[in-house]
This record gives sequence, structure tokens and C-alpha cells, in this order.
Amino acid sequence: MSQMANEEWVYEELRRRAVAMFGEKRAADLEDYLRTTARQVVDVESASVHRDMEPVVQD
Amino acid sequence: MPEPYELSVVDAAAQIRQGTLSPVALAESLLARIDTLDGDLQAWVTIDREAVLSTARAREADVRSGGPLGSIHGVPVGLKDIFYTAGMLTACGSRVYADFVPDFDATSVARIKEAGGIILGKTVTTEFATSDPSPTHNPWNLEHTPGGSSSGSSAAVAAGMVPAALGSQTGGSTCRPAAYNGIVGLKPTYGRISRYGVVPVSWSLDHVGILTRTVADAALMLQVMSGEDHNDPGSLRQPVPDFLAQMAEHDRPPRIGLVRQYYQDYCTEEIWAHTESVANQLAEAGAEVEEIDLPDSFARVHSFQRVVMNVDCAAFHEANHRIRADDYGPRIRAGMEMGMLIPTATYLKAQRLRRQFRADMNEMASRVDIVMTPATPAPAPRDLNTTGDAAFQVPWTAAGLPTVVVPTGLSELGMPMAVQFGGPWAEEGRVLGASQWCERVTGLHQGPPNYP
Repeated sequence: MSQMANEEWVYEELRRRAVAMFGEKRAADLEDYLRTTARQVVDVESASVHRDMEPVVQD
Repeated sequence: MPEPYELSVVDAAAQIRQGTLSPVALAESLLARIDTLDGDLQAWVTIDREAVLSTARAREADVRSGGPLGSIHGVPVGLKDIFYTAGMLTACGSRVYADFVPDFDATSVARIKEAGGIILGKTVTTEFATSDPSPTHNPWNLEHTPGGSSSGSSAAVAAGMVPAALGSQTGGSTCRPAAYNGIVGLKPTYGRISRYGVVPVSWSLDHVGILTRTVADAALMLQVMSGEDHNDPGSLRQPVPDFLAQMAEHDRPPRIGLVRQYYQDYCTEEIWAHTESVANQLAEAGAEVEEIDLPDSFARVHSFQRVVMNVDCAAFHEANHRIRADDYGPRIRAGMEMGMLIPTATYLKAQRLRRQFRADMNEMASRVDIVMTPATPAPAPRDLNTTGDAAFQVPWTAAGLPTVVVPTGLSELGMPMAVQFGGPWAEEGRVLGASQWCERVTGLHQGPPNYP
């Protein structure tokens, strides 16, 4: 299983980045948001998408 | 004989054209209404009374001189305070933009003016059109949220302070407050109305929305503002159809695809019972109602929409966040900070999933004339610390497909309930026509009792 499909691993990775960018205190304040975002990232990363499907940004 | 402030856009424009209604009298009636009600409702943030009246006098002179008149000549329109207005404060409900005065009009605003419309003023938005609540109250009950983020525009239209107002929708910010306030909301196809000069939440997801009291008014406002704009890279590059003619053509009993899956489980029993009751009424009046299944890709839409929105929001605000993060409200700040943390590859995967989802939803919507769902999971919550739940709009926004919300009844607590109609890509005329037919059969046809 890819690490990006493991919610706890994604959460720890997001938290590590949050500490680096915003500091320990702010990262602690963002706990609930980090948990929610980890779930969303896993949801996205665990989906299959056709290899020829290009991303759409403004279309 | 109705007071001028009670008139729809279509009726006011017709009476002005016929010379039976003065644009000045209409503007004065609306300004007086605002003076009376806005202390309670707090829907407006900036009104330049002298500019409104002077423009109204000029519009009246045009009528008297027999000059060419635009399709909404002399009709006042409200603008959510994220639309650029040359020389007028555009503060976005934010301390960060507290002094921002644009030097040009948004394309949509310029088109309203070209069609003879009068900018009545700027309406309250939640901070940068996201989810930190605004001070606006719901005119149906001041203790309930008006929804967001187009909270001021929705409350103002519902309370008869303006016949039409602009909103925007990145998640559910036009159609959800429309439902909560008992009015009509239109979110067109992505790119149909230019976003140039509209402060963004997400370049990929933002739509200009329309709030009115009738479906016909929404169609007229769409006609006024639609069209390609080279300043908007997401602008729809195709000729603008005659929406009013298309609406008339489709104003007949439609073949309706009712979505039970997901929506029934996610909404209250009262909302689902109401939705089924509306579907039965429509069927008795001649519509063909069948159940329709959602595509498999629907399962992840709320996740990829949020990933895209947070990353886009972070990209726009990153420079200001670096120097004044404390000036942002707690929810928008946290959302943009999440956007800064999400890996680039995840963002692009979310955009790929969105493209697949759009194709799947378009295929689903093309199987019937219109798709019908409840407009919201519940009526407007009795809580001013929330803007409610956008879950029923998010899929349609992510897909960029057109939707119309039509008010259809009242809850046990006397709050509006509504249904949402959606259609295929660039088929606003079809959705508007079917919605107008449904509006005639099941429409609420009443305003807030405390603000008749």
C-alpha cells in the first residue's frame, strides 16, 4: 500500500510540514484541520484515474 | 398596485420602458426599504446614495428622450462585496482588503451598466467569500443564519431591498443562501459569466451567481452578463444563446431525474419528505419523474473539491498570509494553511479526478431534462456561527454544471425549503425553462412574513 493511502502517515507528514512552516503552537491549533485534510488527501490518492486523463484547472 | 420595491426585474424593466415607472421612484423606494430594514438585517456594506440617485435621474432622462434602452434599463442591482467597482470600496468582508478601492469595474458589473442597470451598492459577504460567518441575519427569522457566502445579497433580495443581486459560488455560496432565504439562485456553467474583477477563492471553482425572486429574473440577468471575456482565462468560448427564448421553449413538463442516492441519507427527514412531495406535485402536473443514479466518481467529490479550493485559496493569499496572517478569520486562515501543506501531486490528481467527474456528471444529467435534488440538507440552521452546509451544491460546482434553486415550501419552524435543479454543460436555457415550469407548479410565492 502506498504511504499516501495511509491516513496516519499522511497526517504525520502534514503535521511535520505544519510545524516547519507555522511553528509548533500553530500546528497544534490546526489539529482538527490536519486530520480532516489527511482524510481528504487519502481519499484523492486512493482513487484510480485513467493514465491519459490530464488535469483540468480552468476549463 | 405593488410598491416599486416589490417589483421583479422583468416587471420593473417593462414598466420603465413603458414610461409608467420612474427609475428615480424605484431607486428611492429601494433606498427607503434599506433604511427601514437594514438595521436588523445588516445586508449592505456600502451604498453611495447620491451616485444611485444621479444614475437613476440619467436613466430617466434616457427614457424621456426616447434614447436606446438596455434590457434592465433603470433597474437597481446589488453586488456582493467581492466584485470590483471602480472608485468604490471592495473590502471582501476582510481586514486585509479594508481599504481596497479598485480602479475598474468587474466585467459582470460593466455589462450590468451597459444594459442600463444601476449599481445600488455592495452587499455583505463572508470574509473573502469563504466560511467565517458575516453579520447578516436571515429575514425569515433573525436568529437563523442567512447562509453564505453571498449572505447580504440573499437577505437583501428576500427582504425586497433589491430585485436582483450578484453572488459567487465556489462550494455552495449562491444556491445555499438562496434556499435558506426563500429566493431563486442560479449558478451558471463554469465560465459563462466572466470572473474578471471578482476577488477569487479558487480560480478552478469560482462561478458568478445570480440571486433573484423569480426564475425569469435570473434568466434575464444571465443574458445581460454572459459572454466570452479575454480577460478571464476560464471564460466559455462559445456564442451566447438566447436564454430567454430557450427558457420559453423548455417551459413545459420536464422529464425529471430525482436523485435519492446520497441526498436522502444526508438530509433531514423533513427535507426528504418535502422533496418527495414536490416531485409528486410535479408528476401530477404532467412531469415525468424517475430516479437517477449518481456516477461512481461522486463518492470522492467533496474531498477533491476541498483539496482544489484550499490550494487555490492558498496560492492567492500566500503573500498576505506571510505578513499578516492574524488579520484573517480563523476558518479562511486554516483553509489556506491546509492548502499550503497539500502536495502538488495531490492537487493535480484532484484536478484529474474533477475532470473525470465533470464528464460523468454531464453524462448523467444528459439522460433527462433536469436532475432534481433537495437544495440543502436542512433549512437554515438557528445558529449565527455557521453559514450552513454546502454539501448539496459542491458536486455541481466541482462539475461546473448549471443549477437553479427554486423555493418550494416552509418547514415546521417556518423557514424556507427548496429544491435544486441541475442540467448538462452549457444548457442553462433548458434548466431555466424547466425550473420556471416547476416554479409555477410548486413555487413558494411569498416573502418573509416580518418583512412583507
